[in-house]
Amino acid sequence: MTLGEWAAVALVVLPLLAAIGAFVVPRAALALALVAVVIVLAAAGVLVFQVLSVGPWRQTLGGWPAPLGIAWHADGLSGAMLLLTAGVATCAGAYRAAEPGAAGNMLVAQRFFWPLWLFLVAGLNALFLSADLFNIYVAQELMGLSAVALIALAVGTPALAAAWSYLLATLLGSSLYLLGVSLLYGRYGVLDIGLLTDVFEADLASVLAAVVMTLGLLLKAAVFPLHFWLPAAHGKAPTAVSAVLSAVVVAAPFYLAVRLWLGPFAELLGQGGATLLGLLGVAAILWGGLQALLQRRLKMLIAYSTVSQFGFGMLVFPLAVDADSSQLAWTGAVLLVLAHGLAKAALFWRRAACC
Amino acid sequence: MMYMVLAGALFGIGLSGLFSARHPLRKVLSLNVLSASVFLLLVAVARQSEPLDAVPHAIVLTGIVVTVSTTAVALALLVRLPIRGRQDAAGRPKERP
Amino acid sequence: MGAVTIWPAAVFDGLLALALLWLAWQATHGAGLFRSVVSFIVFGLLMALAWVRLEAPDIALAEAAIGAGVTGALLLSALGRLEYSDDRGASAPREWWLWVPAGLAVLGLLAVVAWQLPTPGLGEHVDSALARSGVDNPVTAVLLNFRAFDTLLEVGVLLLAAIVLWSFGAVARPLVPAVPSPALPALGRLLFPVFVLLSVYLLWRGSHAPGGAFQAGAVLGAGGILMLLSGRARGCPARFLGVAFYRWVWLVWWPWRPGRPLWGSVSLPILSLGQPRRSCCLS
Repeated sequence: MTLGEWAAVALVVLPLLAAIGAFVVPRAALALALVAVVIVLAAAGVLVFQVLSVGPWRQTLGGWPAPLGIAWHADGLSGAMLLLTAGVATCAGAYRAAEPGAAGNMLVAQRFFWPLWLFLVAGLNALFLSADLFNIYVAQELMGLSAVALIALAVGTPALAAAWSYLLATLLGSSLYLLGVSLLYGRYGVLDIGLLTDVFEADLASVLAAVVMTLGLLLKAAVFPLHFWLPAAHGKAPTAVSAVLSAVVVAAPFYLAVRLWLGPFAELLGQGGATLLGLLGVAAILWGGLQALLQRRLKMLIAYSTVSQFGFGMLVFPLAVDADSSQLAWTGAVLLVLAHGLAKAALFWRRAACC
Repeated sequence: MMYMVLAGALFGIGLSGLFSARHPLRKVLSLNVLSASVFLLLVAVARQSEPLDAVPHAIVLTGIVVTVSTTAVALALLVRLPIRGRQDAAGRPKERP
Repeated sequence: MGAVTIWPAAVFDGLLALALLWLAWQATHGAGLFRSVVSFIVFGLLMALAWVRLEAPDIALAEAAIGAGVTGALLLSALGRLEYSDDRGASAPREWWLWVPAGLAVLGLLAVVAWQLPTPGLGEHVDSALARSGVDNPVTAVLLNFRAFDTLLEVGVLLLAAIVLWSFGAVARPLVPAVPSPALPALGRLLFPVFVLLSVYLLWRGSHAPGGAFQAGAVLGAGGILMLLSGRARGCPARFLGVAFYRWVWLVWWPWRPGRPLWGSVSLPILSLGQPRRSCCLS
């Protein structure tokens, strides 16, 4: 196996194993989690270095090539997301470990925090690496369930209610996404994103699939009219969790939407899809910004600003229609997501430190 | 194929149930109907293709396990959730520890 | 002649479809939560029939065990912890004049699209690779070989769900069986070996015919639930099924399993009943 393959395996399998280990041996949980996440950071670095030096990387799993088997795919976009995930997760882990009171009284929360957090990292990494539509669905469920549980770890009824509405939103989003996947499978008989890009045509079934999948993903990414669950979920969660949620967990479905519209659905961009998505983005910027101005609690303000920032992200779709500027637009979107992730995570931690 | 249309209708019922239901347990039921309808669509697709396609079958099996996991989590969260307007025998809103 | 042989099947399909629609409506919009839950369980059983009609016996087995069995048990145990007298069914949404036409339009669109799907499928790919996969049952081949990574993540989801349920902690109000039956403990003790035997058989059968570790695990899990429920009625004979024991067995076995969540599907329903070991021994 090459270094890149080892890195990819470590990205997904290591957090899963560490999660089990942390659950079975709670005393070693902290050490296990931190070691695992540092290795994941290094592996993400290796993979990104490989992508930068060699170009996009692709690996079929189990020796079964694409229409039958599942493939992993890493390019600049997924590399950036992997690096962001590992970086934010490392900082969140360090923050949590150093948090006053984390070691002592909240025994239950302490015991379950690390396994859930490692599952979240594993789900995110699997999502960013996978090139298979259904595999991505399972990864999304892994990510969504662990995020729900992490929100619910915060003590008190509001956190439970927030976790509940996030759970409903993410499950509905997954169902819509899966409906789109089944339509695409019925139409083309492939699940691999790369193969789908080659055969995609703009007919009724494909357009309907694109619409429902995008709706599901926008619901999970809390883009403007579908953002109702986000402020409570991010405002009520434990601080270390809020940071990861805002920086990466919301970005993951957005990444997927970009991946789909950049690949298979690119043909639909010019036919009104881009304008519609762009309008949603504009509405999100205005509404999120306005709501953020009206908030009195800093954590809620930060949460509403996430809604607004992903509105800016949505602007990539109309910008990318023009062939000349499309490369620049995608680069901009990736940079925006990266910058937002880092800034938002830092904001949550800073807020916790000062007040 | 009739089962595809049935899948569409079930999806509609699940969706409307999710939005109109008051009680959270009913929302969980609606989500389960939703995923069942998607699975039905997948298997109906597999039935149509020639020769019989095993990939959607495997996918649906995986999906059923994922759905039962999410349902279990949703139900466990649900029973810990205070329901608005719930009152005990004396008419006071109930507190959950 | 052809029309004569086709008609009964079409009539059966039509009745099944109508029944499924009605049950789904009852489950999501009917009056009374208990009735909804029961409707949903029957819905799961009829779905198993639909899978049989669609030539998917593997899914039919799984749906009967999981969709109707385990999910039904989970729903009933959740219902037992809720005071459900306050639910009078969902009232019609206020904007029904907006929703109904929009819903019908979407439904029509979906139906037209589904009707026209060409459904190329991967059947030929699976068939040609089946010889190299090591098993005869194409569904098992896809699950354990071609798309084994899905299965790994799925085991991850199951495990995660178990940990999440645990992390929520004990419920304030433990499950109180509505009708404590004296026959239940004896029945549980009597039937549990049968469940074990049946699950082992399904596990062995899975390599060449519909069946497999997944369905086997579901059957074993159902047996565990029965033991647990019956154990609650008289002391603690279900203790050897206790959570601590299962956690260890499961976590030791899990990495060595070829991929199907056998112990996972056993442990999940047991865990989801709250903290069975503790509540059981307190009762």
